[in-house]
Order: sequence, then C-alpha cells, then structure tokens
Amino acid sequence: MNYRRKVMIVDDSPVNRMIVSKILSDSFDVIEAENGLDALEILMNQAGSISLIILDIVMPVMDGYTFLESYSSIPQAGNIPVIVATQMDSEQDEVKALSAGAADFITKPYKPEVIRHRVANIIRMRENAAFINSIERDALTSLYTKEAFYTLAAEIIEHDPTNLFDIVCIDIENFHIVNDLYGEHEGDMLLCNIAQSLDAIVGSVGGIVSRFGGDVFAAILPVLDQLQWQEFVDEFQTKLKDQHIPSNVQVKYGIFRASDRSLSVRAMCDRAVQALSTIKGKYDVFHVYYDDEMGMRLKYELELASDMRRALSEQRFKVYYQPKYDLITEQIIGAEALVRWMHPEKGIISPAEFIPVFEANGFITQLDSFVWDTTCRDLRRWLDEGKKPMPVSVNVSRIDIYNESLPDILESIIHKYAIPINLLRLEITETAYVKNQQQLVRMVNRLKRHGFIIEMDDFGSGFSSLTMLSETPVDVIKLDMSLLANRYKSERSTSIIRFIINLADELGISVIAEGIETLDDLEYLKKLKCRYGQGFYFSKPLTADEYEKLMDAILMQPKDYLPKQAKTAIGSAAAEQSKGEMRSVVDAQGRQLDALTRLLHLSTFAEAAQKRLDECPDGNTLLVLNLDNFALVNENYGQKHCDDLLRSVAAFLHREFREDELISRVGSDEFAVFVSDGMPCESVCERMNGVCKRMIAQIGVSCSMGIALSEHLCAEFDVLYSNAVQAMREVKKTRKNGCAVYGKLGS
Amino acid sequence: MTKLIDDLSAYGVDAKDVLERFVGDEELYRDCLMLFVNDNAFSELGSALECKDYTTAFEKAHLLKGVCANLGLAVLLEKICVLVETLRERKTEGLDEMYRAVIDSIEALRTILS
Repeated sequence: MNYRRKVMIVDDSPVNRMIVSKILSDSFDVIEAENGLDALEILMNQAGSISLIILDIVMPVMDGYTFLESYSSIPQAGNIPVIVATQMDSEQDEVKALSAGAADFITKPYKPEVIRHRVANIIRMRENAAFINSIERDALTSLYTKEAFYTLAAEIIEHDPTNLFDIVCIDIENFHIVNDLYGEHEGDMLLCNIAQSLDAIVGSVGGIVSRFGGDVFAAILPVLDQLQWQEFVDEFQTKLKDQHIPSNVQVKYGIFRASDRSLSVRAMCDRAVQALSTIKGKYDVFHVYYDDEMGMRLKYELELASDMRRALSEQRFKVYYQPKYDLITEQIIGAEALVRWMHPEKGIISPAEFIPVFEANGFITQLDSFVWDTTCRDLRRWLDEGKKPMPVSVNVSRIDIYNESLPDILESIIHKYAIPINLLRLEITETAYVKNQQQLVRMVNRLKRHGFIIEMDDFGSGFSSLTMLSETPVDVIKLDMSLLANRYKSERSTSIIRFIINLADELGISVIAEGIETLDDLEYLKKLKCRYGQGFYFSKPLTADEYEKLMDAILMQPKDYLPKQAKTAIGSAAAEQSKGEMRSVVDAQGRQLDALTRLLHLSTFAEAAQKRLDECPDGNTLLVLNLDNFALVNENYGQKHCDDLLRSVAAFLHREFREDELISRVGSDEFAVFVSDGMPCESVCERMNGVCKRMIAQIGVSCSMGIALSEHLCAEFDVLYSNAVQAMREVKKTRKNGCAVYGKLGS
Repeated sequence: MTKLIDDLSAYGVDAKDVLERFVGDEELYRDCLMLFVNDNAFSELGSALECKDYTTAFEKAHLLKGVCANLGLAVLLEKICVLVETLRERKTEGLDEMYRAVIDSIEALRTILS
C-alpha cells in the first residue's frame, strides 16, 4: 500500500478512540465518530476516501447494529469493510455482528499488533476484490457494466438456442430533474435504489440487467407475452412510485427481439437504444420495438455520414440567412446563419435531419467551422462593398463547447477577415446547458472575455433552471418556438413566456422569439412586450444574394438589439450634464436633485420618465428648454444673479406645470419637462407658446424650446430626449424665443 | 512518570502489557487515565442504579468495562465485570455493594493520579 489509507473509528468512548488512533497512527490516517449517526454523516461526505471502519457495538444515539444496517445504502460506502470492536465476554455479539455484514472483529483489551495486521489485511483483500469487481460491476449501483453485460448476454443467448430473448434498453427519462431538485448525492442514492428494484424484477423473470451509464439500463429477458410484459412494467412502476420520484420522470423501454442470433449483443443493444430514441420526449409512449423502418432510418443516417466529408469539399453545404426583426418597427436588426445541404441525389436536406447525425459522429465541429468561415467571408464582402451589415449569429454546437481551443478558432476567423467582433454573434443551444453546466459557464465566460456576444438558443425547450440565466453571462436569449406553438393551449405557457421576458429584462438580457409564423404570433408577442423575433411571418432563411438585396433596401442603420445600448444612451446624457458642474443632492425619497434649483437630476428624471413611458407609451410630451443669451447674463451680472435667475426659472416651471409633472435641470441653463396630459400636438404647441410668452413677462428672460411627442412607435426616453434637443437647437439657430415640435420643424 | 508506573503496578496494572498498547506513550496513557476517572459514565451508572434503570446501567457498566480493559486496570476490571455479569443476568441483589467497590477502586486510582 503506497498511500496512507483512512480508517474511521466509531466508538462513544474517547479513551478507546484515542487508543485505536494511537495504535494505527503510524500506518493510517484516522477519523473519529462518536456514534453511528455521526459516522453515517461522515460517510455521506467522504465515503470514497475511507478504506475501513472500526465499529463499537454498544453506543448511544445509534448503535453498531443499526449502523451496519444503514451504511451500505450510502453510495460508495457499501464496499467499506467494517471491523467490529467487542469485549471478550459475548460471543453472541460477535456472531451477530458478523452476520450483519462485519468483516471481522477485535476484542478489548486491544492488542496493537493484531489490530494493525487485521486492518491492513482486510483493506488489502477488499481492494483486490474491488478491483476485480470493477471490471464487471458498476461502481455506483453494483449492476453489471456494459462490457460484462455484452459477454454475459452473449453466453445466455448461445447456451439457450431454444428460447427467444429480448434486449431491452431502459431509460429513466428526465432523471436529471432529480439531480437538479435534490442534488447529485440524492440522485445517486435514488439511482442505486432503482437499480436494485430493476435487478430484482429482471432477475425474477430470469434475465440479467446492467447499467449502461447515466440513467440508462440494459437487460436481457426471455420474451414475455403481453400480460407478462405489462406485469413487468407495472411492478417496476410501483417500485418507482414508492421511491417518491417526481411524476415527470418516466421510464421508457426500447426493445430489440433477438431473433437473428448472429448479431452481436452490442449491435442488438444499439438497435434497442435506437428504438428508444424514437420515443424520447413523447409523453404518451412508453415502449417501442425496434422495426425495419428504424433500420432504414439508421441506414439513411449512415449514408449521410458517409457523404458528409465529400459534401463539404464539394461545397454542397450552403449558408442561409434568416433575418431577425424589431417587432415594433418591423425593421431588420440582424440575421441568423443557417446551413442547408444540397444533396445531389436526396435534394435539399434540412439541418434537423443531419445535425443530430453530425453531433453524434463529431463532424459537426467541421461543419460549424465552415459556417463560421462562410459567414465572416460574406460579412467581409458586404463591408468591402460599402454595405452596412448587421450582426449575424452563428450556431455553436454543444460538441464545440468541449473544445478548449474554441475561442482561438473563432478569433482566428474574425482576424482572417478583419470583422468587428460585434458582427459575429454566437448562438449556444440551451440543451447544452443542462448536461455540463460548469464547462459551459466556463466556456461562455472565456468567449465573453474574448469579446464575443452570446445568444442562448432554444430557450425554454429543455428543462433548464432559470437560475442558469443569472450564472451564465449571456447577452440574448432566443425563445424557443415550441413554447410559442403551445401557447394557445394554455394560460400557463403565456405566464412562462411573460415571466421569461420580464426576468430577461431585469437581467439586462434581450429576448428574440423564434418561429413567428402568423400575424397572431406577432401580436401575441408584442402584447407580452417581446421586442425582437424571427420566423416565416417576416422571412424564411434567405440565400446570401437575397439577404443582400434586403440589406440594400435598408436606408438607415437600425439600432442594435443589445439592451445595454439603451442604458448607455441615458448614461451619456447624464455624463454630458456633469460637464456643466452642477452639484446634486439626494432627497428623502432617494431622488437625485440639482442642489441649486431642487429640480430633478437628469438620471432620476430619465428613469421616472421611462417608467411612465413603459406604463403608457402614448400622449406624453418631453420639452427641452434652453435659456437664450444666458452667457451674457452671467458676464454682465455675475454668478449670484445667475443663480437667482435659475431659481426663478425653476419656480416658474413649477407654476406652469402641474404638481405631478417631472421637471429637471439638465444643464447649466437647460431644463427638461415631461408632461403626460395626453394632449394632441396642436394643443401642446398652443400651450407651450403661452409658456414662452409668460416666461418673458414674468422673469424677463426668453427661452428656446424643443418638443417631442411620444407615440406607440417611439416610447423610449433617450430617443425622445435627443429629438427634443434637436428641435430646441433648431429654434435656437433660427429665431430663439419660441418653440418647435420635433418632426414638424418650421411650422 | 516512573513513580506513576510504580504506583500503578502496585494498584494491579500490568505496566508492560499496557504500555505496549499505548505504543510506549506514557503521557498518552496518563491522559487516558485522567479521562477515564473523570468519565461521566460512572455517575450515570450510579444514578441508573438508583432509578433501577438496569438497561442503562448495563450499557454504562459495559462501556466502562471495555475502557477499563484497554487501560489494563485489572483490579477495577474484575469489579466492573462482576457488576456487568450481574446486570446481564438481570439480577439486582448486591448491586449497591458492587457499585461501591467500583467507586472505591476509582477513588484509589484518582489518588494515585493526583
């Protein structure tokens, strides 16, 4: 034994524990437990590191016998040998302990040499046995391993030529829910129990069962008639029910009848698995027999696999672009790159057919690279032609996530074509999130550090915990179309979609809905405040040529769909304000105020205005007022007079506008007012002209005023604000002392 | 320390045998003896006997017996054994005297240790 094994001593007497520790301390690490319960707790956390247990029988809280009964159900603990410590007075105890599963016993008073040798021998024996066992038995469940099963099942078939057998693959579908809900430890325990139940049931009909990996089992059974099969299924179902497994965890059976005995068991299992895969995710189908059509399917997939490399070199894969739209303005905001296979004999093959095949055989990596390269080449060409291409997102397969050099590969493509990194966005499939979260979070973080923008694809299709959203720094989520397709059926899906959109909004993540097919879909999403989307209602995936034409038709560069942009726009206006050196204070309600006039600070003002716009996008008016010739006032009358004047303006604005309107000092001589009175444009102009006149009359100073009216299509503060400023500047440039409405200049 | 070993030998301890168990560590042995004489199990044994809770009394006596054996306290061990066996056979006669004898022996040990 090269490394020091760990021995756990379970004894309520500290003196006894000290003595055993002392005796073993030269050769072993020792861990102590005061009673059976303590010992079980230690095993829960570190069973894997403990090589042997020395157990006292008579203890308070939980005695040695109870411990012996319970410890083997803890994963990885069942194989730890136990030596029972007894006193020389009761042979009965010794027999009882040995029959309860103890490997050996030692008696008090302890004999150091005896203890040391016994401990070392038992550990050695158990480890040798475990080594041999591990080849045949799965470490967690003690069922046969896949390899052992292949050998044993082949023997069974060979030695019993008269009977017919079924190879059954059993999948505990959605078992990961248990892990997600209760943690992996609990999941493992449950899996052990399931394995034991299965072993007993399969054994009772004369078959054997193995753990194929994860939550998939394979069994060989003599062919059962319908009644017997139903009994088999019912019995297993009952056992599962007893384990309190969540109801969406279902058992699925894929069955291959081994009538062709020349096939290898491995091939039989492959077919059973294949049959199983056809009913994965179907709620009402629980078992399926392998048939010839599945064989054809397999053959078709093999053909695809055999053609794929040639297809790539012969450029039979084509990249299509499906535009993404702003649902409110119905303007294009970008596209998703999709791949099609132009097969010389089979015609156009959809990705739904070949992607799973390529994911299984690993070719997806090459195909993905091809799509990334083609997309960047197209982007480069558009840039060279003076077009203003919008961001294109490409798919990153879950297989790519495991490739450590993924960021470098992507970066090298970006560099090769000198593409701004902002133009190539990465879509990562949500299903990839569930399997290995850590790896994915790590990779997303790495990609983010390289500057890539990440879109989470197919959101809502898998069982994903929403908390993933806060852990994974994605920029965009793409709502899965299946959620959309279901929505008419239930209120629930509507609530889910609304919840996702709200949550995304709070996390600063944009939402793009996929699969918008009808006007109804569009209206529905707009109602839920989903801002972006793609789908056949807008456009099918287009060839590069077709997409280019669409791009040419766009006159103005649209706004990017990343939410941060909107936030920084308000931020930059606030930064502008700070140049005017205005001190601000915070009032009792936590609002930022201008120290001089006690009017709202721009940031508070913007936030409050945006909130009102969100609540009611129509009928709001934003005014920006700039005092005319204020610099002259300052020069001629000095700072004090200026301050007084500014305070009078503030008081004047308070008088002019109702109590609940928002008023802000946005610059040294500039003010903004947000009015939500729902007045039509003409009345607003009339009213504001009046305001300008009264201002001269009451405080002797004139102003230039820009007015921007909100409407359904323009309900964002930063847009309104810049419009109002533009209108105000126009007035300032042409005539001063007056007002103008943005979009109706000169009127 | 030698004086302690001498005194313990006089008390009936087979010092050679016991020190082997402690891998020659006299100090650890002394610490264990101290823990032992101050073990609550003695008083718990006393109160269990008083309440006629013979199951608990047996458990406590049994525990002390194991520790006592490990510490090589032959004389005390003999006295505890009598108590354990009586309790095992569910007899009640003479328990008080037996307990007294155990306590006396412990007191003697405590004197040696101090």
